[in-house]
Order: sequence, then C-alpha cells, then structure tokens
Amino acid sequence: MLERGISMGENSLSCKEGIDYVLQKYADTIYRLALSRTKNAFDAEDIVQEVFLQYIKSNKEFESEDHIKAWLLKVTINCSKNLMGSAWFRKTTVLDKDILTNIEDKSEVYKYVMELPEKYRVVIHLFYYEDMQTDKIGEILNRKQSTVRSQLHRGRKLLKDHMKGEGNFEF
Amino acid sequence: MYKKENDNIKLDKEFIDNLSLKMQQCNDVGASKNIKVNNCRLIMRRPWIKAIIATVTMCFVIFIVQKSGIFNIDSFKHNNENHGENLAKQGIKVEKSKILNENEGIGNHRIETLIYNDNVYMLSSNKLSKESGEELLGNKLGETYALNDYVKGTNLLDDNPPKIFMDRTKLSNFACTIANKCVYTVKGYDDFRLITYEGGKGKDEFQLWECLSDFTMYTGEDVFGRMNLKGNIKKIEYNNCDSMNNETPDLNQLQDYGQGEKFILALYKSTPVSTENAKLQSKLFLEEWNKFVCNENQKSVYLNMKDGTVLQLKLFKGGYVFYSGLKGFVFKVDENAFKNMWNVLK
Repeated sequence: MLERGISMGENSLSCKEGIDYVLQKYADTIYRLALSRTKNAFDAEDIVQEVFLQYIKSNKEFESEDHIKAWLLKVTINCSKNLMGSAWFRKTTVLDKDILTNIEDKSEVYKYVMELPEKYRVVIHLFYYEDMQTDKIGEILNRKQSTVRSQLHRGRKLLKDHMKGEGNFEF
Repeated sequence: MYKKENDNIKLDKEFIDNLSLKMQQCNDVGASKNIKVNNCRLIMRRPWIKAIIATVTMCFVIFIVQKSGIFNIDSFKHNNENHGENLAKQGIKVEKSKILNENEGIGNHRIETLIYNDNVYMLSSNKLSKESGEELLGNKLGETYALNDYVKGTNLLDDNPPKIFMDRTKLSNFACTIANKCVYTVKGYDDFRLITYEGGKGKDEFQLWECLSDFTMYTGEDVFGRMNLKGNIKKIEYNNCDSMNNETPDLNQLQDYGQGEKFILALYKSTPVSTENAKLQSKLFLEEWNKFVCNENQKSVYLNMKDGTVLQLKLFKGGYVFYSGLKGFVFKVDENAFKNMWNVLK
C-alpha cells in the first residue's frame, strides 16, 4: 500500500485505509516507546496522538518503511522530551493506568527495566525490543554511537546488579 | 521476557479508532487548504495580475509614507525588531482560567487542579522540603475533597494554557484531584499561591499550587514581583541542553551572583508578550511541531529562594524568558542584560 517514494500527500493517505494501515503498523510501537519513556499510559497515549498528527501534517517524502519508522520513533522521543521537560504537571495521583502500579503481573526483567533511569531504559528498549543498531539508536536519540553503547553497557550492568542471584536474565 | 511483555502492550481499539478519525479530519483540512493555495498560485502566475498588485502596493506604500512620515531609520528598525509583538504599553490581559463543560473526544489527560474562590490552581513544579513547607504555611482555609472523575485537559505538549474540562456540578471550593489535603495560604505571597499539606501514615508532604490568571500585566514585575524575587534569592542554578534530557539534570551554580541580580532587575522591567503571534513563535521554536525541545538556543535557570521555593525559568536566545506557570506568554528582557546573563550561563 505504501510504495517507494512514499509521500504524505494525497495518493498515500487521503483514504481511511491508508491511515488505518499506518496506525495498525506503527501505533503500538510508538506507544511502547512512549510508555518506556514516560511510564504513564495517559502521557504515552498523548504522545502517540501527537506523533501521528504530526505525521499527517508533514509533507515529508519517505524512502522506505524503515524510514517512516525511524522518523516516527524520533518524533516520539522529541515529544516525550518535550513532555518530560515541562515540569509543570506533577504526577502525584496514583491512577489505574500508571504503569508502575500495575506491574505486579509483569516479569522481573520488565519491572527492573522500567525502574532503570530513563536514559538507559530507552536505549535498552530500542536495542532489545525494536532490534535497532546502536548507530540508528544514536540518530533517533541525538546521541553519539559511543554514548549509546556505554549507556547500553551500563543499563545491562544495572540490571545484572538488581537481579543478583536470580540467574541470567534474558530479554 | 522483556520482549514478550512488550508484545502484550497494545493500544485500545477505541483509542486507535478515535485517532484515525482525527487524522482523517486533519488530512481533510490540509487537503482543502492545499486546493485553495494551489488555486491562488495559478492566478498569481498571470503577468497582468502581478502588475496590478505591484501598482496597488506601490500606491499604498506611498500613501502611508506621506501620511505618517514613518520613514526614518530608528522607527523602522524598532518596528522590525518587534516581529509584530504586542508591546504592553496598554497592558496584556491574562484571562481568567476557564473551566469548560465536560467534553467527549478530548485527550483523557489528567491535570492536577485545585478549585478555590472560583479559580483553578494548578500544581506547581516547585518541590518543597518539610522545613520550607512548615515555614510557608499560613492560614488554614479548608480541606480538599476528590473530584470523582479525572480532570480532563487538552494536550500537555501544547505551550498554550491548557483547556480544562470537568463536570461543573462537582465544582466548589477545595474540589481537587487529590483528596484529604489541608489547604493553606502561603506566608509572604498573595493568593495566587496556595499550599497543601498531607500528613500522617508516614506522609509529610507539602505542595505548592499556583493560579496566575484574571489580571493585567504591564511589565514582568506584575508577575515576578509577586514571587518576591528581589533580594530573596539564595542561589541561582542553571543547566545546559544536554543535561536537560537526563533523568536528574546536572545543575551548575551561577558564580557571578551580581550578574544574576542584574538579570532579575531586568526581568522586572521586561515586557510581557503573547506567544500567539506566529512570527514570535517561529523565532522561539526551531520547528513548529517540536516546541520547547531542548536545543542550544535555550537554557534553564533555577532561582532557589531563601524560603525554599524554586522558580524555574526558560531562557530563549534572543531575549525571551518563559515561566511555565504562565503559559501563552513570554517576557522580552533588555537586550544587553539578557546577553550578559546568557554569556555567563556556560
């Protein structure tokens, strides 16, 4: 449905099917990344909405589906930075959708990853869950590849320290 | 394990359907705008149309120049630098925070709010220690009760004041998204600030709330004067772009305190400007869809007050200061004062 030289113009997304295709393919991916950043389902949903509205408004030419995905991930990171940088609203109310309060049924690895500092958490998520290479991660996060590698290394070390005596963990 | 857990994380179908609808609506609006723009472009290609427009424009310019005598360098330069800003000689009105009736279809975003005297207070980004909180407690006003539903609001990512939607039948004094907190005035501040306290069961929490609305500002003093900045700053910290994205930003302390004081004086004299102006927005934000994203044209400054409150300001290169407690406005500071401060924040 999306051809080479993919455009945001009329031919690709003027119909409902095109929009639904993009959402079906990428919405959950964007949501998972936003959730790993914000640890809050409401905020993650807001970010998903913002990302896809920006997508529809932009007139960008994409070369491939990988290009679309990378663009969406980058916008997600930027939107979440924007949100987290605005310390105006504080999350003091414990709500059903606050992810950490509903984490009991998740695996130990998942819990510990979500407890990592944000800079390690997002790198771990993109590397292990999205199977991205460190250079691509660096482009999306606007960090050097060497920084991404060292953050990956430190993130893994922190996880190992947390999970001492619990055997090897695997992603 | 981590992969498996993430695979189970999915958005609700209802959310996706709503988003699809919004995207279609957005696309339709964009398409109709494109048609209008393209038609306009076709017309503009005709040479005789261009000639007529040029002639009319020339006549209009000559008329204006003759009428007002504006053609001198100083006023031309001044007007250009304004970028269409609304200079606040008459003052800029900050509208009363509105509460709109509950509306379906908006983002289900939780916004921490407290209602008092028909004003909507929002949770400040200030963190208060136990000692500071105790010092700041004024007169007790009442105790909060919980709003049954979340207060819904428009997108948090917007830099404009959020539109607040809630069930108006639940509105009365001390309705709050967080229940069982005692509400007090704040010593040393007028009623734009309130403080809540929750104690017992191992809790000892003080929170600051603010409502800057329903007043007219002429200079920065009308806002920052209420925060008692002059002579009450213990230390000034700042951070740069890279550290702003970290979980806990690395803060540097401003060594040249005198420079900080001069900046505060300039801030008091600054001119409030509405950010609705498109030219100003394009000056402040690098990309329209990525407002306030950290970049080298921004710095954050933290004014640590003697009473324990901390005021965070965002400086935009070019002389503008933003306070997140007053969205929709920035403050234009004197060029030299701003430049001097910017240069020491390294």
